[in-house]
Amino acid sequence: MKRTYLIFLVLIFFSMSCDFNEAPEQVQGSTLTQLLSDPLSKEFSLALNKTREINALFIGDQTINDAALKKEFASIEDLKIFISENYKNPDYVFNTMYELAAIGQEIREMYPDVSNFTQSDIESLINNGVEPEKKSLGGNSSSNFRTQGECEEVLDSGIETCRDVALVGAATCAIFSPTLVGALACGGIIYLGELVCIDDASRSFKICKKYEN
Amino acid sequence: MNMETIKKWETFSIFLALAVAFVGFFFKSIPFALLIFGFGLLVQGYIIYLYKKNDLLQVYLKNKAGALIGGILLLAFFLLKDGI
Repeated sequence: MKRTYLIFLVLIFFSMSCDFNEAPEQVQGSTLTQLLSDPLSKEFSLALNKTREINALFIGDQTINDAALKKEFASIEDLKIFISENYKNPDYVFNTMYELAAIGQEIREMYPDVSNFTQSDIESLINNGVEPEKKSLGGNSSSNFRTQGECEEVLDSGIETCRDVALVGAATCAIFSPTLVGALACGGIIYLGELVCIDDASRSFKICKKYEN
Repeated sequence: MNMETIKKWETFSIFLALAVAFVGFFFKSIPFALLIFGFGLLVQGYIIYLYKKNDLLQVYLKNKAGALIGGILLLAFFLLKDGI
């Protein structure tokens, strides 16, 4: 965990020296809480998992490494030299770090306080980064389905279709029914159909998540 | 052409409304649902023609006004229920 934390600091320092063109966005309140509810936290968790992969490629001296990781790299060249001296497959490590730095930069710009994160904050992100997505499966409110991911997109699209069809159906009932009672009875059937349709979409979502995991 | 024939067409029209919803919900196909909807409009046109032919257009409009009010209530319900 300590190594992960140190690599994260390197990424933050490194990303600060890079010029990315994202506009900064100020966010108020608890940075950690906001970041945990942001889909970016999932990317962040995945990014941190990648740092573990990089750890396995480390071949240098641990003491020198810890000292080096705590300092700020002045340029990309300095970082490249450090990586080539201390890691196997340096090109892969550098490219991975560069990619992670981009995510780090995005996080830093959206949540400037991330530079002050403690080790426990980072652990919270690692432990909870993907959890909000899983928790959304438990509720039956439609707002709970508003999460990111391939399965979630399919679910959102399915629910959207159900609602659109319900509206078309309600309009059809109004136009095609000869009486008020007929229109309302038709609307009741449409409502039941919508419930079945949404239930079917959420069942497909659960199956999709099972295969995804 | 008597009233009984008109009622049969109206019953068929309701089944068309349910067919629109069925196709939309279970086949997830809005274009196909709209195709049936278009056919239903033609049937409605024919129903109006039958009422007019039998000089019952006032009866049709009276009943239809109630159905349209019900339809507006239904649309309001389906539009607002997710926001409540």
